[in-house]
Amino acid sequence: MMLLSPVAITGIGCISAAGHDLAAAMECMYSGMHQPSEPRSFKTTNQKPYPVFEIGDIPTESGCAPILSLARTRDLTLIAAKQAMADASLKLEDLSKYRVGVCIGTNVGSGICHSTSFGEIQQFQKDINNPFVSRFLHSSPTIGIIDAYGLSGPSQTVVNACSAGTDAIGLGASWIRNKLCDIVIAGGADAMYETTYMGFISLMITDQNPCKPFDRDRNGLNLGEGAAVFVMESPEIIKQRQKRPRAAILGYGASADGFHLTAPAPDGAGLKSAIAEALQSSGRQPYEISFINAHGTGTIENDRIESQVLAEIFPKIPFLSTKGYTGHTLGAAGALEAAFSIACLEQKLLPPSGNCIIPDDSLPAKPVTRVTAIDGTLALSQSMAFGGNNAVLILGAWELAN
Amino acid sequence: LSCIIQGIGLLGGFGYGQSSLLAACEQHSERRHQWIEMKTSKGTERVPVLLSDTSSLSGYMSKAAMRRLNHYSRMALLAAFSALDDADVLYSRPRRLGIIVCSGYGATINTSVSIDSKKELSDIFGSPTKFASSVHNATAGIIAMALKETGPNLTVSQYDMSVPQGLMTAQIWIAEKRVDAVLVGGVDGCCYELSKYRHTLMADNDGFGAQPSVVGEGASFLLLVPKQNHTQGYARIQAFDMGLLRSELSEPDLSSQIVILGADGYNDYEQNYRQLVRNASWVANYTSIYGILPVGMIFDVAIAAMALCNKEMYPSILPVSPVSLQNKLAKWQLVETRQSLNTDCIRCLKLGNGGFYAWIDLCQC
Repeated sequence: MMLLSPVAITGIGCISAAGHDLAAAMECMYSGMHQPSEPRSFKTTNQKPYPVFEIGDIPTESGCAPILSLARTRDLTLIAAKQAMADASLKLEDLSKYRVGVCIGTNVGSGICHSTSFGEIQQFQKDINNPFVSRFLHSSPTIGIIDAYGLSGPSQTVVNACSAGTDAIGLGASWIRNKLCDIVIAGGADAMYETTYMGFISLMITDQNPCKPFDRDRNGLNLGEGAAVFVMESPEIIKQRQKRPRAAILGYGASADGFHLTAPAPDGAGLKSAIAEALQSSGRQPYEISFINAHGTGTIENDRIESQVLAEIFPKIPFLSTKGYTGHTLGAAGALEAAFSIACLEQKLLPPSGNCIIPDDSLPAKPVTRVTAIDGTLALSQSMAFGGNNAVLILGAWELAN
Repeated sequence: LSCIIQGIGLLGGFGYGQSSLLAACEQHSERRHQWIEMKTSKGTERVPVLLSDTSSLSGYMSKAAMRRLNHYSRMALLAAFSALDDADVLYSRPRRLGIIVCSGYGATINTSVSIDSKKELSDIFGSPTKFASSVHNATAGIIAMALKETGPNLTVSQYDMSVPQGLMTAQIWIAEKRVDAVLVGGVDGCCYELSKYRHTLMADNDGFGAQPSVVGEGASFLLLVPKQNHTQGYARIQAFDMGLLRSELSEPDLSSQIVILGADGYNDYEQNYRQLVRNASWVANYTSIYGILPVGMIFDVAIAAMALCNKEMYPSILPVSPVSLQNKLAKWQLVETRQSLNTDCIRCLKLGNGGFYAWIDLCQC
């Protein structure tokens, strides 16, 4: 693995159940308060519904009216993209001057899971004019950004399940380094769909109560929805625009467990390999990391294995899971957590790990359970996914990049 | 960014392996369609499709290991194993191997299966096994598990552009020395819902597509290795580009090139091929061999690589009326018969829905 040059982040946007933008989400997390509720976007027949973290109606202040004929994932992506562009001080008319790429991670890409209900597919089977396939063909979040901003550069939709957002940011940074683009808009997005809700219940890894990552009484995850989008720029464009970056992507690593489709490898070898690659590509050592935003879903196995790996590689380095505030937002998770990590670096403060009341004593490493001051300027955000994917980003203050 | 194609594995409606594909090119008049029945507004219609047979996978895996794999994953696995076998590295693989699966429809076909299971079982929980295999990166994970590979693993899914996107990332991984080699491939299954949609669109299409290809399914994988460390292989990926055609089209200088078109006679944007290949010397098209599927470009890249290695081009037919593609200023000729290759570079060009484009230039090693 080569030592890679840092890539500047000039804009961040995000929306989740924790807040409709990054500042609101951080405020929610520092207050330590947020609870999921039963699904509202579809009906469930469960006597006791599994709680989820939904955003509710698209906020009017976002200025992004939902297109009802298209998938909600696309709407959420556009809200986050709009915030990121404003944060980067980029206007629509500016973009035509540059080669702009778009790389978005999501759970299903161009898949039929974009259907809002099972009934829609059944209707289509009876009537070809049902809008189901048309929706499917026009709902890609990547294409949504391309259309909204009139872009013409390279694009990619990453569908690496729960690590898709992390991977999309890592890959997007490579486009800048390899001079394929001047600017890259990258991130992750996923809305709440009945298909995934039912699927996760079928796997018996969802909690019927609010999820409690790394807690003694944890019993599974809660699904959530959201989107986070980053604007990354080449050194030449930064200089030309004289825009001060917020942060930098310093390293990225990815690996496969090659073990099981829905369970992490028991020895955490895949995650360790992705961490090693991310550190190597950034030229950093484990002791230099200020804190870690863990994947921390709240399932028994995920948290146990992640805790083992963190204790082994990053002893005594503080870590947290933010899924107790957002739920598991699948393709959006890695991007949201990267955004939260940068906000924590900026504020030099970690929120308490979401809903971890009594840390599990059997875990070798335990998360922070109160607002915690941090030293240093480096964060590591990691994702583990179905299919055995692991992805890790190392993020830092822009000063470190120079 | 540049790398060498060292192994090719493929299967589709033409059969399994390179020899089947080349034989299908020679015998294109004897199309080997299968038929599926679809209920449409006109009643039940028989629709031609090009389906894949994955029985050869038993040469690489035990039947017990294959038992739980769906057809989509079997197609991908067979092409992946074959590419490694073809490069003679099946049992002594590169130290760190990346895996990239490109799919236009993603695991759509599996999602449909998962949904059927809910309906059939009247069970609110559905089937965990089927749900797990409907997750879009499941097949890439299955390949990693079958090969016990722990390198980076990626699945991309953006309709017609999935293959160039995957090939771009493969080259970046090699350039950044994340991997010693990348197994990158495309796979798409024949999904009932989408086949019906395509069939309806084609039936309504009386414009550009005079003889559209039929719906297909299949998979092809390529083993890519760094140019610096290898000199042997089928061909070298020399350059690529992708994006969206927004402004007036410029005419690239293709005067000494053969261009393989991804035109399938279905997409309205295919009108742009006319402008983009006007300067080419030769044009070829193989969509009638592998059928309409979003990852069709992976077959074009495989055919181009074989052609450069064997120094000959294979017979092709256009799925569109030549009149609609050629105008009086056009200089190109269609590759209709097997002929020796008189250039060391072949361009694969794909125009996708919504105005997306991608081209990949392959050259002799």
